[in-house]
Amino acid sequence: MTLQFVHRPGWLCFALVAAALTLGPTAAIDAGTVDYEIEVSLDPTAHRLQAFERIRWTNTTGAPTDEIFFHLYLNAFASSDTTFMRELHGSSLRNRVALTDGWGWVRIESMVFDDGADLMPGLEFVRPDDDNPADFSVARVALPRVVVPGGVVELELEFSAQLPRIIARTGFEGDFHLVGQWFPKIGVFEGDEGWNCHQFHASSEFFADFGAYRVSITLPEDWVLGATGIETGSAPADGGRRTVVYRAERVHDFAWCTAPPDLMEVVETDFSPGRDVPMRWLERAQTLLGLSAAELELPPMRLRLIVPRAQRVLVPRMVRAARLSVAWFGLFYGPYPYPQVTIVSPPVGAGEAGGMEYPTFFTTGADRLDAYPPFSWSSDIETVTVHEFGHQYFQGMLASNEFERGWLDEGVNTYAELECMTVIAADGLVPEIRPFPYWGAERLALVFPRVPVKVATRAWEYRRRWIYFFASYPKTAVVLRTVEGLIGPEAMARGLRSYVDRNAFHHPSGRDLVAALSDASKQDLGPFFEQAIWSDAVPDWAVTSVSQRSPKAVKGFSWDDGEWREVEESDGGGADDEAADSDIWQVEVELARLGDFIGPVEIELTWAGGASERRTWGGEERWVRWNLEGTQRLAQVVVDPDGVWALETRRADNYWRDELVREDHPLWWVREVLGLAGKIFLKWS
Amino acid sequence: MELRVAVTPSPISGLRLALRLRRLVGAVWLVSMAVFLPAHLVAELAAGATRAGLPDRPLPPGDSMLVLVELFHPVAGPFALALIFGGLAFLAWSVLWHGGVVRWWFGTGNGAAQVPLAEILGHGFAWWWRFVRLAVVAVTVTASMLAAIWIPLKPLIRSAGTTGDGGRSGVLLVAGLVLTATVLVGCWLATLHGAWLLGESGRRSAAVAWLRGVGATLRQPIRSLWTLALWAVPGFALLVLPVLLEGPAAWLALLPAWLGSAFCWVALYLSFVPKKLPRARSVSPLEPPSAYMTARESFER
Repeated sequence: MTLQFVHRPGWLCFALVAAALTLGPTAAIDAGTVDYEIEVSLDPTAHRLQAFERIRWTNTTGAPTDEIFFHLYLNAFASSDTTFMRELHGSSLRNRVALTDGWGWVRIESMVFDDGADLMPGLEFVRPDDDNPADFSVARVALPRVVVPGGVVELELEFSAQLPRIIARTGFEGDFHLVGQWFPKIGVFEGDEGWNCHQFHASSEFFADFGAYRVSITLPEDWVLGATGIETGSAPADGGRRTVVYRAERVHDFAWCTAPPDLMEVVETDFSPGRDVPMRWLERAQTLLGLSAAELELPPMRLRLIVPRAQRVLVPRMVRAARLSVAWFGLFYGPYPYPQVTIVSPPVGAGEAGGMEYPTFFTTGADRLDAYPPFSWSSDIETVTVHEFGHQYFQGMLASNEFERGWLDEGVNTYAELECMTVIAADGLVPEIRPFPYWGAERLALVFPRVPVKVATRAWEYRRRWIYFFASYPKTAVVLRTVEGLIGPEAMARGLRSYVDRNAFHHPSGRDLVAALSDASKQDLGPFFEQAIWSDAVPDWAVTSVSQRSPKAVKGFSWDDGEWREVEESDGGGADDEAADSDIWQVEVELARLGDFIGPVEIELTWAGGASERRTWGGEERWVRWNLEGTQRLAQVVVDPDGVWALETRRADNYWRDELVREDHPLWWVREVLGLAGKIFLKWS
Repeated sequence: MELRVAVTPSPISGLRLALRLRRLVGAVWLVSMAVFLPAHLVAELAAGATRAGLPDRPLPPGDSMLVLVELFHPVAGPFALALIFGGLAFLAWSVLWHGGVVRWWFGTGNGAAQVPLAEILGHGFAWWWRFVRLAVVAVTVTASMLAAIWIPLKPLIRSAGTTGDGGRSGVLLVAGLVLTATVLVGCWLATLHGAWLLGESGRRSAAVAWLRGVGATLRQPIRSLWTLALWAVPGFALLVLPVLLEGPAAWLALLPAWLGSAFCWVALYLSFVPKKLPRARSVSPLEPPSAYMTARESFER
């Protein structure tokens, strides 16, 4: 199928109309770096796409280029020898075995430049990351002319694609189709640094420029459809089909989902701030951000859920989770800038499509068992919904490079998710869920790696795939939790809000995050982040020894007035560490920095009478000895009493106590083991 | 003439016999706790002192779990071994006293006021292997039946979910859960009946005894179920009570509650003693002597 070429004025009109249709009330119209117009037809039996694509790319950098790089992500599923499949090592992303059949691919059938030149002869596959000749996930095309800074080029492509059996967020399972990463998509041109267009790796997600999308999808007439953006039109097509037009503005990807109506159904609902923003949350946001209620006002928006009919019983819970997500992120990170979000809960067997974010469109995961105890006690539905909605900000609006800095969206978003879930649980907003130590569980994950992990690593260069997940999700989240402890919740909330405000609809780097948090806290957090993110330093402090003695009486001879004089026996003396009847106790507290992470840590000293004092140790030295004197014995020493250093996982030696107190429960370890098992159940049920 | 034992569960008989076999109750109580003592010692040695040194203030969020993992990590192997061997020892001990009680009952289980524990344990050693076979049969049949339920049911539920037939999916799921519960309870009851039937004169086959236990359960399902519920519910409740209690109450309740739990388990087992005993001839040196009267018969007289 070929479309008439749309000239530039038409594109501008389209952009303006689309912006007016799709932008939220607070967003300004912004010309995209790359705009797409796609017409695609789905063959639901063969699970094949046939499409025409028009791309308009603007060189927004200060450097010229005479080439364009494309992602052809579906080719990652073309064979067992692609880079993606090699890195997967036969495992899976979402508990599904790796592909053994139902391979997927995308093929560019024609490519025409805006001057009519055929670009196919200059099209070649490239492997910028690993030179794997069996990988076809990136292509480069030479252009017949140089695109100068500010210059615009337009390309027309025809392509076909075979969807794989569902894997890594895309494909089909039965009649269910989740169509993601399906079209030739331009990489990101970074000026003098060239094109940033990585191959599809098993341990990474995506990176693209913002733009406008107009996508016409032709599919069976009665099938339900959800997609990025909003539906702007629908018309009957040949053969009992219909064509639905979706438009989206200021987004960097486009995904869609379709299924027959006897499998999935659409639930249309909305977010109404007057109804859906908990008053406590508004007050909390006012306090932490220092903004008025008027400044925190959120716009209403549409929520569109596409759920399996088998999960109908869970819809109220899904809707509630979505509304709480919109409220939390809207209050703390700014209003959601689009008029609608579409949420897909994949059916049984399509779990590999679950838990994935695309602009204004994301997938969750649920099971009808979640409606019944004890499975309903788990907060899986809320956690996944909050997390994936959070990606509308951290990756959707703040489009960081997920290939090179996966931690920047996943980690920041996990921090936001955990903050939100902690408050949801504490405020009892979802009565079904049982108490769960969200942050405790996240910290526990930090115990597992035996080799220290540097977070700032490219996604495919971690030592193991699970370390990518460890570094990008829990470790980064706990790093940010530690920052919150160090600078306080207000500065943290303001810093993250500032990070969003400064970098929305751009490609932020880790330095942008550090700058925003440093500015908000009025502290230079650079040294902290250098250690926490850009090195593998591990914090670990310990109370290495405490000794207490009452002053010894002097025995023997003393030098007195120029001569030795024998001292008379006195009753006031005492041996080391004896509870003598002295009014004075001399105490030596020795602390050590066992880890290589340097930072200030607070020490709490509690005396036998109950009085306590706090001191801060800068921690530059390997160890320090404090000589104290008091009228009572020292009863307790606690390093980091408030748990500011959430990053520190070896905590047993942070505590010292003068008199050991036996555990007050005879079956303490049974309780602990059962408690841990219960938490694991709630987490993974 | 073939001889058969008729089993009619009676909680009252179980109560009376358990009171009479109080030394056995005490042994069940003590040994069942003792087999897990190594695991307790490993836990205490690994973490007891450090935990005793924790401050008398709430720990920061997550610290409690972190400290536990940190302390247990070096002893994970020994702790797991202690738990596994404790579990195995518990099973071996359970088989021992169950078998011992049955053989005692069919042998010298008369109306004597004192029941020597050594006699029961001696009988248990003699019939230990016979009752191990019964346990293996029970576990194998239970696992096979559960597999037979869920292997075909899982794809059916899955396909019903995939095709959007949520109602059918739900019905299948509930049916699977009900069948699972039925199998678990049914197999338990069949094993209880079968254990006593295994004591029949001349019976050697644990499988046949277990199958006859199924028949006995089916003949008296309500009475069997009622007896099981009457003893098993308080048995489980008393078992977990000390875990749920806090502070001194946990210490105070620990030993009495578990003693009560041991009593419930012994009474449950004794509730299934045969009502009438045939006169039988000995067929093996391990068999009890022929022509005897059961303790319950003497009780009832």
